[in-house]
Amino acid sequence: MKHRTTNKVAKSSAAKSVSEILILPNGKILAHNISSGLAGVLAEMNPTDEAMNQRAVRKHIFEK
Amino acid sequence: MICVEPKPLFRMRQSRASLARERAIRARAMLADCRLCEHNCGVNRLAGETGLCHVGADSHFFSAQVEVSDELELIPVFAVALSGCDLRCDFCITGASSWNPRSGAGFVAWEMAARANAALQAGARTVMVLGGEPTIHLPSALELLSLLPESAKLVWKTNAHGTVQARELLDGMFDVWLADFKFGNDACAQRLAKVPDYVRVVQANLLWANAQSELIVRHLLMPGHAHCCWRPVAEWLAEQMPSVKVNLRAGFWPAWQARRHAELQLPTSAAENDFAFGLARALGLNLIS
Repeated sequence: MKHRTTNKVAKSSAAKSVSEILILPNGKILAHNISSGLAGVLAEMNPTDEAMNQRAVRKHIFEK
Repeated sequence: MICVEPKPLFRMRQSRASLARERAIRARAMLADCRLCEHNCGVNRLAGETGLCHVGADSHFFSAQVEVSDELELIPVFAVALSGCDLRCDFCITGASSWNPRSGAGFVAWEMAARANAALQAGARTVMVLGGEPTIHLPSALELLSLLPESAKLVWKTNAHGTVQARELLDGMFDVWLADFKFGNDACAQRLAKVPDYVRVVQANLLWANAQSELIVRHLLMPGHAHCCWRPVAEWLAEQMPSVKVNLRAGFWPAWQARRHAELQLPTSAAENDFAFGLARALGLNLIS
């Protein structure tokens, strides 16, 4: 049953953008397959994260 | 009288698209005795047989989207993730899709090329083919390449477990190899990914890729594996390819079947991260993010 659910998620992700985040108890946020939209959100949540700021800048390049 | 056949002043270099088209045909024929990865199953995928990866003759993809989570010099990247993998990493972040060759939608090269071209025109810097593992999908990957513009910067994101035959088909096809070096010893590779002879195979692939194209090596730092896996990987890179770009990733997240292994229940600790990055700096590795 669990596998069936997973397959449905996977099928939908072939058509739509999918990113995932994991928020740890200490507040640290892990993310993968970061879309341009999510990069902007993460950069705003932690402006001191230089690497994420650079990814958010690339987001703006992509959206021009 | 001496008659000499005049030599051409130059030979027209065959385009990447043209080469890819030829090699896609060869790659598809090779599925009759599949030895694309170092499991060397030798199954006839064209006849419906499957080996350890369970991938048949056709490809599926579980994701195709523009992302900004890869190396800064590559993003925004249009990333095409093909379903199925020849490794069985219990901690795989996309395990459900990566292990299932039927996950997602059927791969149609011209449709994907149209999406990739649209992304490039919208500002994507690169097109990345990944998985799962793309090596086991070489025919489909090459068919896609045959439909992409020569100017497109192409990235091959691989587990570096391919064979010499696979590398021959890949020669000159991709601008950048983005290769994982996950384990620093064969025991951890066997226990966590069910793959034998891992280190020798990956090292051979990395040495070849470093000589043929731009190479970026990735290592995902795993909890409890800083000394047994990262240290030997880092030391080998420092010795064999000291200037290669290395992306040491500290964002391990206990995904998929990681719970099977006691040490993989949590993210890496701050102390492990400090050790790993300190070692990289001490060895003079060319770290990128």
